[in-house]
Amino acid sequence: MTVFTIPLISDNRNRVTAIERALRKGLSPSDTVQTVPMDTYDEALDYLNMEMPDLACIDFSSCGVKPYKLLDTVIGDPWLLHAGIIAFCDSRVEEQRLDELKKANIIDVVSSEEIEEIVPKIMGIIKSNRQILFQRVIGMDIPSNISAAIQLENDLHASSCYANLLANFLYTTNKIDRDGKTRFAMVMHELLTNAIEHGNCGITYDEKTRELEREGDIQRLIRNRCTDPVIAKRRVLFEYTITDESSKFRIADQGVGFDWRAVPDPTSETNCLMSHGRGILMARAFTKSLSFNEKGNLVEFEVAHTLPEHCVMPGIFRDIEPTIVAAGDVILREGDISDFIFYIVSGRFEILVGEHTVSTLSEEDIFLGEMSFLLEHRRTATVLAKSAGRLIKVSKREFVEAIKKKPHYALLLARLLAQRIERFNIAHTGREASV
Amino acid sequence: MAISIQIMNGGSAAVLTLTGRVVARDNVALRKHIEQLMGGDAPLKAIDLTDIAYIDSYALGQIIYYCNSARGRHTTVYIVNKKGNGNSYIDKLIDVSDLKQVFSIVDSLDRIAPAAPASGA
Repeated sequence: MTVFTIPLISDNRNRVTAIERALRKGLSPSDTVQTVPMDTYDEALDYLNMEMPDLACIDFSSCGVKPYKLLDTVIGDPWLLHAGIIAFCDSRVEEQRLDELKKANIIDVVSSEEIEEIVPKIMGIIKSNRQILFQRVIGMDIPSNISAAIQLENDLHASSCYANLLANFLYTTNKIDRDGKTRFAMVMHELLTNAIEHGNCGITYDEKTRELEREGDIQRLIRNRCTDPVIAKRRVLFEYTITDESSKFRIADQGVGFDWRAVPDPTSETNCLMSHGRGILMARAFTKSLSFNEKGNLVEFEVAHTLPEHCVMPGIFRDIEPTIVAAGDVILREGDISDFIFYIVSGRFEILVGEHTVSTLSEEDIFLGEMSFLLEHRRTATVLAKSAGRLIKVSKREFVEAIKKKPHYALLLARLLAQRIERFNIAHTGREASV
Repeated sequence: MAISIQIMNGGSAAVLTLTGRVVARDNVALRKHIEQLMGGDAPLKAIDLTDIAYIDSYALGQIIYYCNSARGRHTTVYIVNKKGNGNSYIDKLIDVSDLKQVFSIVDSLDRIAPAAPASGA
């Protein structure tokens, strides 16, 4: 059973009811969705600050909740919404405005008439990928290698949702930078779309153009194709493995394949004015080792992690210059006076009590030295850098000033400590306990 | 996608500006505006891609196709990328797709349409 707690920010009661119904529809009866409806800006901002939910539904047609002002806050501090936003709007104009906000972690934009159809699909996807979406909360309990194998129906919304979710995840976990996020989303969009449209549904470029010129939409063309039971049964098999160094993806369709060797080079002088043929070229350029199988219905690629340490970091520490450490450096010494804490930007750190290693911490643990910092006693352990890394040294005064400005960081620290105690309890008793 | 055409410098330059996500389903609006740009009287024509968040291969192909179909033999179409630093998403896109073969790439509108001198009345 999974429990999802999702803030639902809208001043439109009918829409709130429709979204709640659709959220439930996307999950199995054993799952629970607890929605937290909010209809004012202050209430919503307070909730985002204090609860730091991973996921939120925001209605961008609700003027009363000042959705764009809320979004500015979220963009300014991505920690507030880790997994992303399901955005709702009335019209295409609103949707276009949201499209322009390239910095926001928007999973999908859903218009009012699509709620019943699209939201259950998004929730299904979120549920089957919760191991990556909620990583920040469970921190180090997640193994360093994450993999999944998923079957996708012939649905462009689902493919776009996957592209956005994975791009958000790789970005908010510091694996790719902002440009890398855009490039990755583009590659996923191109290849998943190809697998659905051309692979499973056999839609040609000319057919697609004809449909679009009639102001039609491709999803309708796909639905028409899927009235053929043979095509309707076809799925896109999508697998990924995310490690510390890179992410590998494999997309297979169940169509007849294509001769990828015969795709004309759109950069050659004779083909440069062609209207199509650039998707594979772009995907190849923005990934590592993209390759097709012989039949042309399976593509694999890898995205190298660039580890841009600065791109996602708590807003309150951004102005403090990180300290660079080398493997073997002693960061803290047992018995030292403790009047500062370290925010871990990157690196691995060994915690030693006497000569015994008691733990190893990394970026996922977020802070280093918080126990003695809070309890105001001398350091109870020595911390040794196991790799090169970067740390932000935050004095007690800086921390208190920061918490005055953004009180939710106090709650974050409390949560981290609670998680560590819980891990310790599980490790020593084998049981989860919560009192 | 948001799309607009701006006529500059007393009609000597027309700039089509695209922002946001430019994808296949924007095809009709894209075509309409490119035809308007290319059919206009302004001798200098440009497409500003600086603020696009993302463009898919279909939409990129359509820009190339419509511009090429509509332009006369002696019309140069410029692509504007104001934030070009050699490493941005648009830079890479221009590089990968070899758009330089089809368009002239500039980092500022001033390069193609210098502000007209103030008329001395």
